[in-house]
Amino acid sequence: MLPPMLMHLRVGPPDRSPFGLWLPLLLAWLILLPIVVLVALIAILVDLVLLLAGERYHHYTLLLLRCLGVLAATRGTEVRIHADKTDVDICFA
Amino acid sequence: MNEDRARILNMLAAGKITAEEAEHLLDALESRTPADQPAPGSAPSMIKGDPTPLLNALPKFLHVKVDGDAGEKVDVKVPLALVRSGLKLTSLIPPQAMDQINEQMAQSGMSIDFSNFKPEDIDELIEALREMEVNVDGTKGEKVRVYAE
Repeated sequence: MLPPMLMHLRVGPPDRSPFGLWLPLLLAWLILLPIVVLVALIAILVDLVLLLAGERYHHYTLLLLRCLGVLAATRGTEVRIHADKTDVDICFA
Repeated sequence: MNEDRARILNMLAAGKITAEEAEHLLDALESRTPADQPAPGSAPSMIKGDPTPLLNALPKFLHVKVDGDAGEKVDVKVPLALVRSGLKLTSLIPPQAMDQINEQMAQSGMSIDFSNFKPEDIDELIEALREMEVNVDGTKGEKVRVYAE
């Protein structure tokens, strides 16, 4: 499952057409990818050391993958706020 | 009234499905048994076969709707996959951190041990959310509605 690739932001007064913006989150993920890979390598190393040391908990790599899963699960989240002067819509797609 | 029929009508009453969807589900329910086949010339049902899996499908989104007293509205739609992923994540939190989380939760009046969550419990929890609906009416006219669909 992939993380959300686009964020749609709409802001504007209720009586006029809102200002819409599509933000390509894909670019942010591409920038963060080297950091994630680096952290994953460190996590694997730490897990290996903990496993060899006989520690019960050695799931940091799995924890990192689950965190990425949580990020991926945000796809489809929508927040709509309607106030007197401004409407704000945020959608993750 | 059989159980499936009552469930469809309850979903309609709770606003979880539209009248049209309820009609299709009821049509499909009636067409399950050969004795209840629609009369010749009647409109064919849009849903073929047994609708039980459709009825038993897990909810997909958690809705939180807030209507303020001054006319402001907030509508948040959260995928339940996010809830599921979050709960699965809790089983992997290091024990030291989990102890602290459980302690803080207990201090806040929520004695839930997240380390004991199992995948089947999570599915059961999500399934139970289908029937859940929270309606809060404030004294100043504000309303909060939480439901899953």
